[in-house]
Amino acid sequence: MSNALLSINNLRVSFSNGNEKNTALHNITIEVKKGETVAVVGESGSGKSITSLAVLQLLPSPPANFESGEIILNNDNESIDLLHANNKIIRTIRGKKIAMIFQEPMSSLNPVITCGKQVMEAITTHQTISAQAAKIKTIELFKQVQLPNPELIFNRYPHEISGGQKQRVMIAMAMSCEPELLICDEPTTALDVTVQKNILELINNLKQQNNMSVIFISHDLSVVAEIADRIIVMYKGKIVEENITKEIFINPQHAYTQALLQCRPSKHLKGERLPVVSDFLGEKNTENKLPIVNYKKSEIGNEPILSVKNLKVYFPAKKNFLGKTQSFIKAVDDVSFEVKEGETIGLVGESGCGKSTLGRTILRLIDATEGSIIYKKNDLIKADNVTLKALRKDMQLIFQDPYSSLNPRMKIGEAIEEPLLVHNIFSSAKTRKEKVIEWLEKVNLSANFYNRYPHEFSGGQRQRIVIARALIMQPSFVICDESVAALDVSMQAQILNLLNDLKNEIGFTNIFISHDLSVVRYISDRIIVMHKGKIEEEGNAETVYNNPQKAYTQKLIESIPQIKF
Amino acid sequence: MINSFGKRLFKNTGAVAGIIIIACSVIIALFAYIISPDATPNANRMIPEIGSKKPGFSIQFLQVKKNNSIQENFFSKIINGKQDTLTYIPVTNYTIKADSVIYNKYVDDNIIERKAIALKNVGNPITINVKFYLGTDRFGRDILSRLIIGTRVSLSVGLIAVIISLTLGIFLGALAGYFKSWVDDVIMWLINVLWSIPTLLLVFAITLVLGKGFWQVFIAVGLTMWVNVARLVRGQVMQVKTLEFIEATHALGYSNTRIIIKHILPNILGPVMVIAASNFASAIVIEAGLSFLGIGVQPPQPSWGLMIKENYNFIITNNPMLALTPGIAIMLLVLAFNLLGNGLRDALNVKSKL
Repeated sequence: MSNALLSINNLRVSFSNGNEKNTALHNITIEVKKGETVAVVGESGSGKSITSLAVLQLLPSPPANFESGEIILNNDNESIDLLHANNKIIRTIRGKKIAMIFQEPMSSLNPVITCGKQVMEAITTHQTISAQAAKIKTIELFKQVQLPNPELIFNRYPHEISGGQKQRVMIAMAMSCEPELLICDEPTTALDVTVQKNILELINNLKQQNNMSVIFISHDLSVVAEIADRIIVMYKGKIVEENITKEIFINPQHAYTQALLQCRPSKHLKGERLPVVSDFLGEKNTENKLPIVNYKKSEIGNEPILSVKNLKVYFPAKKNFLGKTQSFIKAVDDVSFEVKEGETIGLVGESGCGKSTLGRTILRLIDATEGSIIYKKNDLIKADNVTLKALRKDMQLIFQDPYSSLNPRMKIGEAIEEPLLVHNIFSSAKTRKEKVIEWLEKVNLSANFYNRYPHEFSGGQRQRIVIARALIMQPSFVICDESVAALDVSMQAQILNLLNDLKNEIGFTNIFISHDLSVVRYISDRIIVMHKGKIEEEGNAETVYNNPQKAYTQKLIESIPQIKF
Repeated sequence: MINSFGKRLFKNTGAVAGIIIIACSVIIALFAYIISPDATPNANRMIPEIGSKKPGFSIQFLQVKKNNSIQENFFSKIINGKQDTLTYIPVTNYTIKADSVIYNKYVDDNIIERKAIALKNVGNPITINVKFYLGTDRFGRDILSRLIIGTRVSLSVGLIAVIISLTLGIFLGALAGYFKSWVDDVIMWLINVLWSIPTLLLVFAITLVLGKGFWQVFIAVGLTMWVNVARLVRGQVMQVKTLEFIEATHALGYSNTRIIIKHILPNILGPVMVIAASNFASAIVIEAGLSFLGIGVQPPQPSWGLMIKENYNFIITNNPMLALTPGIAIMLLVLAFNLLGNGLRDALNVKSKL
């Protein structure tokens, strides 16, 4: 007790929704010592973010209801119970003693104030210091978080700098008052692997320099492997396991921890079915009906089904006052490749490398500037609307964000049925409905979900709905655009299994776009690495992953968080 | 979703008050000629002798038969009211002598005129007592009746203006927001031009072209208000269009019409309903203003604006209620629609607490 900086004792939090009451945290006890990094790991809905918000008293109450417990901050020989302290005391603690970094750097900075001013504001709120001194301190902090050209960034608006830089600004803001405790809520989830690696190093360095404590929240065990001293695994609002980092990886006790470690695709060979959480917890196997089997090797034909030649997609970047474009952003710059029938191509690259633009251009959702896309002997770029509509049946896209790719005002049954209706695939409403129910069951959802709205489903379930909607027309060509990026590791395994199952069953050609090389290696036959609009490296999946030729690919693979135990 | 929307709406006291006032006025408007004490068409029973009386004035009327016969038809009575079959003569007292009725006709306070009439020409009962709860205007018409029948004008001008403005506004706004490029340029140009003309001037111009009258006002108000709706719809469509599920519909090969009607419009319903409610309120105010200026509803048809115009010079004299009551009626109805609009805005916000 004496050397703990923060101790959460028996915290129980529930949310009231009308007359219903959901308990989000079941008597949680967490202790953070001075200078220690504690990682809290669990899937979405496990209560890890609620724990961190409770510490800063950022949960709106109601609906949040603190039923029991205490959160004690020990500080200069006095301890404060944050749960029962008044607002004035809490405000002096927020930012000054405990600071927080959020997941989404894109939206956690105010877009109309320059980065420098925002950090200055954080400084002047808690310290009586002149504007000049605050500015000097801000620039110093920018240097400390390794931002290039700190003086320049000071006057930049958030939209003018990259995601990784924004997260560095957020960290600078959090560090501005030298907090004793830093809470990081999935600070790297929205970032590329290479940037993630740098940010993790930065947080670790800052912690050592300032001797502060860190609570690091993540859904991915491998991210925290390198920086955490201790790991707490949470599941459904309970702490299921707590141990020092090494022990968690070498000797995981709880079935859920084992599941989290096992379901990552990097641990498995291509074609192996991924285990999912329910396999370990011995729950009713509803989500994952089939036993663990190995998939037959996909039959790859010799004929290319799709060939992209010298494709260029430019966006106007700067126009003169007559509206004539003066310079371009070259999103896809002279890209050529072929996809054979039945093949799965992995398209990898950092955000902004043009991989999503390429995928959308192939489907003609974005117009190409130059080049040709030949799909089954049709040039898609020259295709008229009638041909294009016929081809849409055959080419589908599965999206990244399951939360925004479904119309919130449409029942999911209708959403899945709609493509059949538009393309006149079954004439009678009854056969259509039967088909929809068949597909709901195929993606392991219940038939009586037909009349529900999207907001009633979890992210993983929504992604299944999106997959059902895309595949109900039995397309022979599917592009998955970061389809598992927004999901937890455990969900990710389920969706990857589902995609493999369906591919086995109906056999489609697939381009799998992702920033995560380990996922791509697991699912694809061939990998194409893109960088700044151009193809950097191309080859057999295992070869590229294990023996990358180009420096850029090597850097990408190096940045994947590794568990070195 | 509908359920939680209703729950949120009915938790909002203001919105509930608004709904109650609106519901009452709709009922009053529908059954105006049944409720109203003066059920003649346009509540236009003029009795000059009792002009400009204060609220609560009551007097005895001698009922004298007219020489016209009126077909009794329930539906036409509800819609248009019913012509009087009797003439009403204000009297202070009367006596029956043989086959005639001798009465003291009320001319003004303390002035009476002694007259006689044949008994067979008198209705049954011979006299009735009438109380004018809100007084009478200078033609001796019942203010309450005219107020009740005037509800129809206000509600229908709101309704029709909202229908016209929503149809035009959603159609043009959705086109502009969805297709952008030259379609957007053309529609925005039209919107900006209309926007720059003061509303009242524009309505003047339209009524000059279409002529004065009841229906012309509806159309004129509707044609000026679609601009608000179109601007709002355009912005909302642009925003929804960037969401991934709209891109998904493109990838699935849906037609543009289908995407707009089935996927975009349902998602912008919330703000559109809010602006519909506030347009309803402003249409009522604009109509009242037009009628006040004399280019709206034409007499003898009762309209609240017209009633204020007819009686506003009494405000500083002894009888201010003549102009104040229609003013209060306008205020209440406009307030009700604005309260409903605010309630809708809060209730349609899915993130708000239950």
